[in-house]
Amino acid sequence: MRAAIRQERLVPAAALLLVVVAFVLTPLGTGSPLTTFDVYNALQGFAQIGLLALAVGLTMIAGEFDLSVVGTYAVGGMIAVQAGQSSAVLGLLVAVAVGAAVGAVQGALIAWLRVPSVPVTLAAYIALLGLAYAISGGLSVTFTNRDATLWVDQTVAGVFSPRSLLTLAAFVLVAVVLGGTRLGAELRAIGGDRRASRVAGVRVERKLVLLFTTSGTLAALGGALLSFSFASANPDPGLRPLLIAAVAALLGGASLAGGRGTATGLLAGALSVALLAQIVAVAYLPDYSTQLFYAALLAVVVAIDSPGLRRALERVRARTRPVEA
Amino acid sequence: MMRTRSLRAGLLIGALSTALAASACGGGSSGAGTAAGGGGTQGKTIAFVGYGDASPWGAAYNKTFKAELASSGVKINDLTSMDAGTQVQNFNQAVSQKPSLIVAALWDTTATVVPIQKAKQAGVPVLIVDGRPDPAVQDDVMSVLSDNVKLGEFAAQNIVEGLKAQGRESGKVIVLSGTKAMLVTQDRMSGFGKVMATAAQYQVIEDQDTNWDPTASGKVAQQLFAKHGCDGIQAAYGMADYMALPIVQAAKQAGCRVGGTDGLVVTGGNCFKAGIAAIKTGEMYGTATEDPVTIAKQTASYVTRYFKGENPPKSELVKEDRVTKATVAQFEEQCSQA
Repeated sequence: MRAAIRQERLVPAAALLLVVVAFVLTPLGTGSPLTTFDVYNALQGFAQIGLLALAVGLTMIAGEFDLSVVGTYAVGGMIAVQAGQSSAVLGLLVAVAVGAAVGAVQGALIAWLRVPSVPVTLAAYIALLGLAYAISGGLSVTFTNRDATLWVDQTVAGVFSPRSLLTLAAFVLVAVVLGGTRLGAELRAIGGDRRASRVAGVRVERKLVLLFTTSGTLAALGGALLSFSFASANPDPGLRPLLIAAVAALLGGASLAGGRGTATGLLAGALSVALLAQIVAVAYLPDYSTQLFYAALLAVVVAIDSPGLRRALERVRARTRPVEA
Repeated sequence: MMRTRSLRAGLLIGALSTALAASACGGGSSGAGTAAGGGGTQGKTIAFVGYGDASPWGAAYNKTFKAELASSGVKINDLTSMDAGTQVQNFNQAVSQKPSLIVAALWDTTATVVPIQKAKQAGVPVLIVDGRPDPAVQDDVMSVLSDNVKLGEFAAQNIVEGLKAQGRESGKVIVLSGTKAMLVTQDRMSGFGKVMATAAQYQVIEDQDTNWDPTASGKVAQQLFAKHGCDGIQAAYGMADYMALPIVQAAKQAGCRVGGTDGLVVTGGNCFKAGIAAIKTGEMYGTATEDPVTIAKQTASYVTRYFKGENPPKSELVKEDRVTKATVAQFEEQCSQA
């Protein structure tokens, strides 16, 4: 238990610290000072991936994995653009409602039929991509509401945009709910030992439905905001957003085995991923460097907290500890 | 206890945010470079927001473009990417750095409308290459464009000619296209459809987006041969040679005959060395130019003329040609550089 708590704190802190230090030191390599725009652009990257990372990370805390988020992301963006041509708020609400419904259906299947989440969400992902193609005819759909496009990315306080602030707000809201209620502990308990959590009185099925509903809502919101920003919706965003979201969640201290993770950790993971991408852009490194950096950072933070390394350190400490009289 | 930990985590993130903000106090803009043509190439900076090297076409284009400008004194900042979302961020990044020129090949034309408008507002000139930009910003940019409608027409002409040469009075055609969200793909399909409509006996039965990916092209081709069988497909269009060749491979694996008097008629595009070799052996009926080396050289020439103040035309179209066994010798050298 202590190890789990330690990892959910240490991993995201180490990841974010490493990346921030690297980001701050970037001018040493490029010869150009960082600008406020660099921070703004990094936060735009955070806005692009943050809600997906939060969605994936939350399901990972409960020992599940929602592969469908990237399908919901695509459908959410497509619906928001098509329903939001005259009113962006309406488009956003419709997209979020559809995302919530998709999540709720999946949650119900997983919870009450006791079906594993991976095949259910994989099937949903494929179906949702098909739906996005059907809605769009396989082509990008243009969002003509220019006011909304300009609004979501306008600069706020130099480094933020409404899109990045909304993403941050979602993390804060989830952190408050998980930290201020029993829900956080219950999700970790479900992820850690589902049978034991049932015995302890946790209403596992209801929590799973709520969890997947939240995941679908967040993914659809992320897709809608991104489509507003790009002034277009893409029916197939590929698997890259899902992979990056999973990396962010792992860097955020969540575990594929479940039972571990916090919203603040996931926030740190998403910020780490976004800052790494910005380092690549600022330093004009090849595009593939981003993937290499993600992998390297993941390896470093996992190594930092690996049980083997911890035991070795404890042995070294024990040997070097002065013997008390 | 839990709240204390959350508070600590919050404080850590806050402290790191402060560090970020402090590090960014170097200024609101980098202020590098000028935003106008003329004055020669020396000391000029290009923000290159092109396709990534993971695309064979992109890799050959990028290599040639950089090599052509290597001795000119132009500094090229590489912001190439294979992802439309990353490209938008990189484009915005480029605008903030105020280079002398942004050279961009667009993955998603709609998504780059606002960044192009921001570049205009910031006084940063933009040169679009390969596919045309969104009509909303067409007048705000310079361009060196492939003639994509013509390339689609050439592909259809190859298929119609190849099927007629086999004496077929009817035939089913499959298309493995590039990314459909791109105007490059849409323009090619427009030209392709126009010519195919003149030969109604030949019917397009599948049109699949394989995202300019040779691996995806191979997989989709395998599925289509499994679905329709050898007798159900008489011709195929892979939008680039590196997409057409996996079709040839998939057809062979499925036991279908390729080329000759009654085999599958395959046409490509964006000619490459491997495509030329396949035309010579008869496995591909034809291809079309739009090789990355030619357009990269023309882009470099345009950039040089622009920086020297020679006022090149606002938009230049690269001349494209159809390549078949009859003309392959003429284009072999041009198409064999990548």
